[in-house]
This record gives sequence, C-alpha cells and structure tokens, in this order.
Amino acid sequence: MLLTPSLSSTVIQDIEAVCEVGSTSMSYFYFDFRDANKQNLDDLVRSLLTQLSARSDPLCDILSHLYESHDRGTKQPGDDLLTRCLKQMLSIPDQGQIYIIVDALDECPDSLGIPSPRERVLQLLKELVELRLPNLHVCVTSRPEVDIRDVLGPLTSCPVSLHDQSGQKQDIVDYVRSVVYSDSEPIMKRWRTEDKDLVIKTLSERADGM
Amino acid sequence: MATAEALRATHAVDDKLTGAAKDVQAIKRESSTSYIDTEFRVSRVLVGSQLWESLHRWLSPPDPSTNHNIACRTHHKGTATWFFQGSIFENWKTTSSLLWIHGKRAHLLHFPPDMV
Repeated sequence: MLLTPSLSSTVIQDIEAVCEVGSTSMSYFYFDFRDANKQNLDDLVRSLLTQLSARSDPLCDILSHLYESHDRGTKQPGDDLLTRCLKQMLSIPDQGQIYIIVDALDECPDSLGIPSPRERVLQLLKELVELRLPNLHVCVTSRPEVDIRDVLGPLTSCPVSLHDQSGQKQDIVDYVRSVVYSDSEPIMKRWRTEDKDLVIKTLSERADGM
Repeated sequence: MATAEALRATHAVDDKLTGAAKDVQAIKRESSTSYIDTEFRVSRVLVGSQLWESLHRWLSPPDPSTNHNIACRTHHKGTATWFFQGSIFENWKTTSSLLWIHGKRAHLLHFPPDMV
C-alpha cells in the first residue's frame, strides 16, 4: 500500500516527535480489511482508550471507573459506554494537545448491519469534532467514498485530495520508477528499458484513476 | 542569691532541653512523613502500571502499531513532502480541527500476472 497508510504513518511519526517533548498526547488506529479485529467502532474505541490512558493517570482513573462499574472487569462494556468514556477523557480540562489519527476509514465495512460499522464510526467522529474541544486534532484518511464525504466533508474546512495534487502524482512516478529500476526486483531487472519506461508511463497515468 | 542564680540556670538548661526535644520530634515527624510519602508514591506507581495492565487485558484492544510499522517500512522516502511542507498540515497541528485526507490506495507492487 502506498498512498494513505504511508501518509498516515508519516503524520504519526511527526506527531510522535512532538509528544516526546511536551504534554501532547496521541492515539492512532488503522482500519484493515484483512484483519477482522480492526474493522469496527468497538475496535477503534478500545484501542484509543488504552493508548490515551497509558500515559496519563487522570485518564487511567476514568477508565478504571468503567472497569469498577463492570464488576471489576468481569463484564464487558457496550459501545455506548466506551464512546462515552472516550469523550469524558478528551473533555478533561487543562490537558495538552490531543491528536487522533485514523487511517483507511474505507476499510471499515459499509455493509453488515444497520447502521453499518462505518456509519457508526462516522457518527463517533462527527460527535468528537462537534465537542469543539480547543485541544483536539483529528486526522482521517480514506478513499473518497460518498458516505465518508457526506459526513466528513461538512466538518472540515479544507479536505485534502491526493488526486488534485501534482506533487502526489510526481510521488507516484518516482515510486514506480524506483521499483521498476530497482536491482532487488529480479523479474523487472530482465525487462528491456523501453518496457520499463512503458510500465512507468502507463502506471503513472493510471494512478489517476486507480 | 546563689540559689536563685542556680535556679535560673537550671530553668535555662531545662528550656534548651525542651527545645531540643521539640526539634527532635519535629525531625522525626518530618522524616517519617517523607518516608511515608516516598512509599506512597512508589506504591501508586506500582498500582498505576498494574492497574493499566488489568485495564488493557480487560479491553483487549487490537494493536494498530503492527500496521503502523508496516506502513513505515513501505514508506517511500520523500513521499508527500508537498503535504508536510504545506500550510494545511501545519494549520491542523496548531489549530483544533478535523483534517480529512482522501486518496486512493495504490497496490503498485502487486502487478497483475500477465504483466510479469
């Protein structure tokens, strides 16, 4: 995978560097259609809760209340309580900046139930943004699916489209060229130069519509 | 006269002793408090990490760092510098907001069989 996971990982690395020096905190999640444990609202929220509480006693206390109220963890909380707990954590006053990065939202299924897993995640993201917390920064990457656009479009002042960016197209050309001309690719190494160039040209053009 | 002087001297010594005893008490109190404080902090840290482990076991969340590590490995050097050097990313980092980046996922390494 080249585009959005790569971008998310760089965003995460950039914010990680900020977290090391201050009171900034970050949690991230990658939806993954190949992993059944990374496709639901429940998976997302459980992961965010544990990441956020790992570095903060007050946030850990909030989670521990939920634990206590579930008979010391002998019962599992439902999605509504988990999301309420997350909002409670984010809303604690006088915290540093909080960054939440969600990658590949389109890999959260949009079928399987009403509302679908993706609709439920979109609803949570909407609610988080609408909390209007001055220290909360949310970054979501996805394919431009209609349902995602409908919810996230109005919530963001400046959506970033990777297709519109000439820099992005150049990235793809550079990437394809580096793979095709790489010495570590035994099959492509045997190709004639004109075939390599044809592959680069064709894939780069098609990247716009892939 | 001599008796009165001796008496005053005795009182003075007595006062000093009392003062010294008070100091000793105060020192004792202080040191035991700081001892208790240290103990308390240590036990709180222990309880904190044990507590978090219990919470982690209870919620058993999926681990997104595995995806992150793969994404970092496959990251092509220099990709998206236009984005990271631009104002949109910088604004998002400093201002509370939602940043939605939409693009396609290209599996460029997975060529169809007829191409290879």
